[in-house]
Amino acid sequence: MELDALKTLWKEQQEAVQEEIKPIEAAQLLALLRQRSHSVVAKIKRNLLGEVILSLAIGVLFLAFIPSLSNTTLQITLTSFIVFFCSATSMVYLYFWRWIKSNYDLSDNLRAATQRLIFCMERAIKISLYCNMVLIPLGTTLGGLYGYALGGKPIDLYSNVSFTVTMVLILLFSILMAYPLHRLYINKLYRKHLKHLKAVLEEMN
Amino acid sequence: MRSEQEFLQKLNEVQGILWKICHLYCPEAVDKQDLFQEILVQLWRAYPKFRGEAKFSTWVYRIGLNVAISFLRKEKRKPSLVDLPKEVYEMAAPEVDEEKEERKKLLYWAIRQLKTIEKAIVLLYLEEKSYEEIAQIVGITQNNLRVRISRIKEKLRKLMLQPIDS
Repeated sequence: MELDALKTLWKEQQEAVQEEIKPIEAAQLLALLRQRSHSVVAKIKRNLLGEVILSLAIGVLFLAFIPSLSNTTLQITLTSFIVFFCSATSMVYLYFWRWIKSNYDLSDNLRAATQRLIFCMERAIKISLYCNMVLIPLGTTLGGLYGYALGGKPIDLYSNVSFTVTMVLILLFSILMAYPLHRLYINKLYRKHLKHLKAVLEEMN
Repeated sequence: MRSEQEFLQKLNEVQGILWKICHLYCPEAVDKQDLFQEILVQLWRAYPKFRGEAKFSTWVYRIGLNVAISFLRKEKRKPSLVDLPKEVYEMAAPEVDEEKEERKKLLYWAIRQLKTIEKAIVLLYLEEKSYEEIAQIVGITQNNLRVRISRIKEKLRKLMLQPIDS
């Protein structure tokens, strides 16, 4: 059967279906708008928001422990440090959120929209990588530092050798762990999808 | 921003397009319903930017196909709670002769075997869109499109000659 012959068959089928279709009401549309979107862009935005909330929650948790530290200088240093990193992370995510909103256009042709979507996903992965590579080691080391301080042990990088060694080991371990953890997270979120989109783009090329 | 009523009026005129896209890209009823809803939502969100430079139906095809291509299909997902009329996402089965019905099933089955972009091209082709319009929607040259259509024809011909079970 030739493709042109299928046009008649297609037309007949569509005419039959068209008669069955009922108009969509305003109330149905409003109900739909309240539903969670399954689009990949919505997923990227949700994940970014989740990461911001998690970073801020960890930041707040660390800040909550600050008063229990005995050293005032340490309190001030850590507070500034945490506030700086929380703000920087939020700014990066917020910037990307706005960027993705203004850059992704579904009314583009299929090739352009797919290219842009791949670009958006790859950029989201990069941003997530940079943030995780900084935040995971920092958070872990800070946690170690807190544990040390709350245990009543003196915090002095220069005179307390065991403290210095422990901190360096925690930092190294968390740096080593950050990348595989990030890969695991990204693979779970986007790998299948990115692969599919790249295959589609390749098909178009 | 233009009104909701205006959007719905225009949308209802071309609602069949959404159904066709969903039917080709999602064989499962749950996915089909989700895709239908997703396209509707994205159309509504994009509508303020619609300037009427292209035909409304062309614009709907672009958004619908873009959403279908990037749509996330999950292995197990609960059906959505919004109750749309089932006719908009379920294939209607009007009473016709068996031979025709078989041919229709075979046609859908064969189109579903095609690659993602091939499905889009064949849909637009069967909708009797011009080569220029198809090329614009997909984002390829007309020459490239001609080559692809000839390949798709060959592919479909082969597919429709073999039994579905194989």
